[in-house]
Amino acid sequence: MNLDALAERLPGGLAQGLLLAVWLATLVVLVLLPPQITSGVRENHLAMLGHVLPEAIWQVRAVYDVSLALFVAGGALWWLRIRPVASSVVTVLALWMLGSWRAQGEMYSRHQLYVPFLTLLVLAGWTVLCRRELAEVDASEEDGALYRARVVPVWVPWSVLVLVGWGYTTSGLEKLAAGGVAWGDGVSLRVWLTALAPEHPLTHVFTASPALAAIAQSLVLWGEVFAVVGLAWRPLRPWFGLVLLGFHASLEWTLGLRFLGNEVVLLLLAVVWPVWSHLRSRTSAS
Amino acid sequence: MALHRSELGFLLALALFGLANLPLRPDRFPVSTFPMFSDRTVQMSWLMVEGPDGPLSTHAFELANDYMVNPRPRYGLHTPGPNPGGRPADKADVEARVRRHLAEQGVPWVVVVQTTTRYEPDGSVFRGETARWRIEAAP
Repeated sequence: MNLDALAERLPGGLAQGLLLAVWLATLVVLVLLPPQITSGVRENHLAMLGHVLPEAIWQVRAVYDVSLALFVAGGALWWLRIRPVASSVVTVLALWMLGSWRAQGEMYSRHQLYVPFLTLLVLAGWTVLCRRELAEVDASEEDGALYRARVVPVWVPWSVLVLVGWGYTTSGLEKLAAGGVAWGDGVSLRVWLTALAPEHPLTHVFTASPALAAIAQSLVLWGEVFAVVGLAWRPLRPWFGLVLLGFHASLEWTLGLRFLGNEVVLLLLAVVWPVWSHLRSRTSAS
Repeated sequence: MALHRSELGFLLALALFGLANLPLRPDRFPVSTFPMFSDRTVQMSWLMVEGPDGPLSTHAFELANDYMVNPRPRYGLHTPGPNPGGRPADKADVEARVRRHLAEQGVPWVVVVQTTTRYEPDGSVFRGETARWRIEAAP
């Protein structure tokens, strides 16, 4: 890839829309999954910060509440472009603490906050690195200038897509390492659904048709393994976006596993943005 | 327009961060290779606890099981539960765990119920109760 192509600029509305959507999606996830302090046995740390911060922090609810307040305030100020550099850094640090606190306190690790964290990290990097360019646009008195100004380097959405795609790819490689190609044969999908959602209509469909279960599970396996290529390469992006969105929608429908942050990023960057760009270029050409 | 040196540095840092995941295989927020559900599960057993006044926490009796989300102990949280790898529990192990915590939970007895889901040789999937133990405080 030509590195200079990554420096080309896109309208600011893309980053502002992504920021608002991911920030709101994260808040919904945090509200829907109330924090827990578990008294059970924890053999290992589930957060990097667990290795450096005192154990007592993970038992204090106030630490979570203060981090949540900072995340809410920081995100709102960042989106409103009020001290954007400071507020972006505060927002990302607060989410790091929130995610760490939840991971350390829960007996079952949850991964819903990884993609929002990485997305906001990249957006904060953009806010800090392009602060002078953004400050000029912010100084403009024209309404909505930031949304029209071409101030978002292509590397911003592209690196979010690559990081998200890489997460799916490593997850697919974990499955290949543990179960080989046979992981996608539909057996474990039927076992999980029978165990965790025995009365669900989709459980009955897959139990009655092992071939259909194998197709669905194989699609997930190979969709994950090649996700980094599929999301990084523009022609494949909407197709991989739709496969991964379907995967998340069915997980949410059957097992109640809510990955709202992933869904928002995939929908905006892998489906809406490429389709909108394509339609716009066709309109311009005609 | 060319990439600024600071932008290039940021992108390189992100790339290194992502690539380091592969050999290290961490599961520590905010880095993970997302190992949940990576086992090709063919059987899965789990326990539930009931006391005189209704259901009780499995965590409180060391009976919780995080096999699904952490299929291998080296990843992140590993609750040392009595159903390693989703296999059925050993009765003596369950009794020992429960007896360690009966007094602190303030209950004279509990009933531990084990449910199992497993793939059968004929291609069907079984789901049902595979054990029920009533455990009382030692006299």
